[in-house]
Amino acid sequence: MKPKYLIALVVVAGALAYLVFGGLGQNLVYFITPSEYYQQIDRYQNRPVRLGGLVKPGTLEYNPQTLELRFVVTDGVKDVPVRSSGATPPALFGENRGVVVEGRFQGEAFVSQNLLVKHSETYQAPKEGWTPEEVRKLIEGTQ
Amino acid sequence: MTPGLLGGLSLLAALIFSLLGLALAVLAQLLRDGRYLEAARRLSALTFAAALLSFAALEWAILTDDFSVSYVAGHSSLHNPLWVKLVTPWAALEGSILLWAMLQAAYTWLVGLRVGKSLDSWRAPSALGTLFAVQVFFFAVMVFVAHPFDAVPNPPPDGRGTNPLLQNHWMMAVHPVLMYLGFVGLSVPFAYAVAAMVARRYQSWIVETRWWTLVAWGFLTAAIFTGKWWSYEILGWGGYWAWDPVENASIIPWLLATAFLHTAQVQERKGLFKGWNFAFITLAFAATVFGTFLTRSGVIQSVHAFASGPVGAWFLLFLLGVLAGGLGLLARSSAEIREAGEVRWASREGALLAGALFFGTFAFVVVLGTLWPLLVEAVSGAKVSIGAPFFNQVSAPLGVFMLLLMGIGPVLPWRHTQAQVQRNLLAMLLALGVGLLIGLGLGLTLGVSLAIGLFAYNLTAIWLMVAQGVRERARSLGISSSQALLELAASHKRRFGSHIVHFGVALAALAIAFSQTYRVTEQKTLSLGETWQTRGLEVRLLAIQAREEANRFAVLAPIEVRSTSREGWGADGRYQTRLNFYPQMASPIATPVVRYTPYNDYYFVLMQFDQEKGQWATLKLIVTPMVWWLWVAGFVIVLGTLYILWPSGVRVAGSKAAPVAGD
Repeated sequence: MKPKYLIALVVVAGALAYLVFGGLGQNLVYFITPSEYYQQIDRYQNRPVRLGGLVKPGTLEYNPQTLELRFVVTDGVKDVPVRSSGATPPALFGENRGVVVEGRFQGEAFVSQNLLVKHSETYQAPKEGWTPEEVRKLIEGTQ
Repeated sequence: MTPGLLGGLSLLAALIFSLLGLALAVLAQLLRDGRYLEAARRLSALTFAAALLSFAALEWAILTDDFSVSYVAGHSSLHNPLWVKLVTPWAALEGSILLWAMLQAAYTWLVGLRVGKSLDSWRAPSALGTLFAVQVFFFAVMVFVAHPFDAVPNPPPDGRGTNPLLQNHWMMAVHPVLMYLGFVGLSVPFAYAVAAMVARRYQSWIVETRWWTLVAWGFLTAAIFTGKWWSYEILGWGGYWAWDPVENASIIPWLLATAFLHTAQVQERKGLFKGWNFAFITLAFAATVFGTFLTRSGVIQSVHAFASGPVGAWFLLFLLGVLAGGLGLLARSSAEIREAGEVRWASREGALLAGALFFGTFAFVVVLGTLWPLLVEAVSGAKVSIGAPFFNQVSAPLGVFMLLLMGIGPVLPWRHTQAQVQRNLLAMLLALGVGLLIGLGLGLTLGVSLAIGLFAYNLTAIWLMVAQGVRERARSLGISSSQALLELAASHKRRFGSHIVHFGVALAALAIAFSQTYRVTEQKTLSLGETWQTRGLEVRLLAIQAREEANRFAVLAPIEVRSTSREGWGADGRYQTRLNFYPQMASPIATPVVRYTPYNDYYFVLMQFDQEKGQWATLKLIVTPMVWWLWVAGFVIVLGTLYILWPSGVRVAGSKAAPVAGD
């Protein structure tokens, strides 16, 4: 191979590697439960996070005028208040239902840009005293 | 005879026939005895018949609501409409593997029909043997771990129902079948590649393999576009591609098959790139298995994922087997493969290889992005996901390079003179620059302007090539240009078909750039009768109604839309926004209504409604420009593929005379 092709190849490969590995690092979205959040609060501030849990009964509030949806996500041990306006129809939310919200922690609350509701075929509520790991299994399993 | 018994027995028969076929093919290969080959060929027909019977038994069980069959009890219901019942076989794991296996048997049978014609006796045993081995795997998975016909001891009065997301749209009847036809279709080129490497005949396999690959590629393309459209129509977020692991699973084999289709041309014409071709086709088939593994093992979370289970491990083993077999043979062959010449980059073959390498790289990046969460979890234990931004970020520059190469490649010489080539390239670059400047002049973003420029550039390339051919022919034969065009299009089907496909790809890129950049979303809560002025529209909420439907319960919010300015062109009419509630699912599905126009798509979603008094509803409006053209582009690409594949009188006569000339 001629040297000029070799240089071109190295440049292209380098640019690509930079693009790919840089991109992978920047776009890593952690998937955590409320308990995991409270273990490492600083780590998850102001970066994209997926928060998984269940909608805590009696906390679901929708304001039709401001279009804001508020609820508390729980894993049975810890709770995180979530604010959301917009992406997913609020009608899809129900108490005690598995939910994954994508967004950022801002102070104490989680501000969600995107709500991924679990379209569970078989519905099951978490039981008292479950560990976060069990709740996560439930949420993931019902996907 | 009950459907369950019939299905189970025919499934077992299909497995035994496949095993026998495999054994006979191996014997034919080792002993070089035509009688074994003939017997294997006949078994391919028997296997297909048994698989078809098994599939028919599943349909029978579903249509007669026979809940003593595990699959029917788990995935069907008395209340499903007829069309849902008809498509239920591929709505869940076991049934979809049955469909897969049946299509596999059909392809093996079709290949069997080629034995003694284009598939000579040197390669036929190993080609059939490979296909039988693949088939053994699928039937064995069903018989041993994912049996659709397991008997349910106490049949329930009603089944658990079909996944609501699937029965919510008629695309369910089309998209999965196309996807499987494409996925399974790639097993044939793989078998041909294995056969060529086993027989150590590295050149003669390429023509027919390219044909089979194009068939599978056509199905895959159609499947990907229908899948995009389905997700646009049903998921209610206004997009069509989310880089979900399952979507990635469909795009990876497509990219690799595309790479093969390009390098195969060079081998056909110049005898180059044999190693690349074996590698691309092996990887393309392996990618289909990889995709199936991803979606059926539960290792990766995804909206489409099937329930996790023991099949994952089986698919992983099968994937390793395919990779080891294909790449092992390639390693042995690579020492023997003689390339017929050297590659110059600034030539047609150089551009084709560069394009193929881009496709391969793209596939690799998608694999990496899809598996990265697993790697991170293995290393640090953290659960992560890689979002769509990563894939968008990487695919944009790769897409630009590919669009550039797509224009250059066909223009570079096999036969043109140098001066002409340079003139052509200059014209294309001029079109690129003018398009880019027009876009920027109109105040569009750099990305969209670049997409316009690249569209103009590719259009110019196609125009120049067609015009030159037509001019030369018209002059040399003294006929009119239109007649020359018709004659050329008929005699150079592959070339014209590829122009059509390339035009479709350029159009798709343009549609993607516009729709991704200029999508706008608005939301508002409306009281009954209230009017909402937005985006050149006047939207009025007419009512909130509830309706009981056969298999679901629906809340409807009909709206009336009038356009008040040119911006809202084409959106006038009544829309029926709705939420569908399925008994087997906790939350409803928000089914959007879409008005398609060539300029803007208007997409309404019912977000929430007043559950107490029915006095208000929250609506979302998504206006997306030019999505319509994406569906047109998909149609154009499939049409171009069909144009290449369509048997012409000349080609049929040629292929009848050809088989002897094969080796």
